[in-house]
Amino acid sequence: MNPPGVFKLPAQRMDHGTASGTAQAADEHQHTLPQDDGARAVTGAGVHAGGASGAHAGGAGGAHAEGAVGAHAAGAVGARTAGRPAARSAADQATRTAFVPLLLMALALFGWFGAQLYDAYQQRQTLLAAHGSQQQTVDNAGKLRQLLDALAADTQRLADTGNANAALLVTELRKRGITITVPGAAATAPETAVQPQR
Amino acid sequence: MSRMQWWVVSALAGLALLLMASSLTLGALNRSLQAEVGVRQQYVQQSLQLETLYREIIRALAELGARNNDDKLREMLQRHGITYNAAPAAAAGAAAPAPAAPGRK
Repeated sequence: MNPPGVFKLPAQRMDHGTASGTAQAADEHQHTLPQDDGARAVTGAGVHAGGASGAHAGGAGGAHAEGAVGAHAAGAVGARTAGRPAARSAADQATRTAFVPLLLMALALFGWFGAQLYDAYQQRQTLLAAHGSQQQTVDNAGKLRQLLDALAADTQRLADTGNANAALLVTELRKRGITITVPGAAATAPETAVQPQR
Repeated sequence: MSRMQWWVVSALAGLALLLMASSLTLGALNRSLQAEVGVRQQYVQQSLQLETLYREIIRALAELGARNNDDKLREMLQRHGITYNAAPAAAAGAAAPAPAAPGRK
């Protein structure tokens, strides 16, 4: 294809109507073609314009033929230059799928929740270690409470039988806000015999 | 998106969902365990205060038993593994009991 500048015709010999009409026809035809197939649009415009130029060349002579061919060339080139961005965007659109953004998002979520799970696992290991280290202390504390409860209950029973020393101790404890409840004697048996009052 | 790409994205999304569920479950378990650890710690702290009270009660009972020569009190303490020796009479009547270390049964 020759560029449009090659065909320089005198203005009075140039059939502007035919040329512009041919070019317009080529442009209109190119516009009616689908935008996503640029190469086919260029080819279609060239064939259509060529057919128009051939008709004019046979009927009106060489000048018309040259003008029509020039118009054909211009129309074809215009259609081709107009079709390039559409073709490029169509090709880009064909390659841009949702895979990459979805993959990135899935990887981000995978990493985020993985980090959260790792932190939770570490925290659980620390808590389990603390729970295990407390076991011996808790057992000792339970034994101590049982000893205290038994001693306090026996002291209370001894005071109830009339022992003055035991009664004095129970009174002193009560003054300090500590009451002793014997499990067998109380209607509602609490677990602890010694209940500090607050 | 090709079939392979669909499977890759779906697998990653499924793994992320699985990780999220695991993280939430583990977080709930951790909160429960942390609460239990806190309760046990409070139990131990209260037991330390009760240990002081236990020692004071033993000391007071031993002092009263030694001062007044209370056999019932002595027997009761012996049942709990606690023995004490009466102070010498030279202590001007003030009983200075020397309770033995509480013997744990």
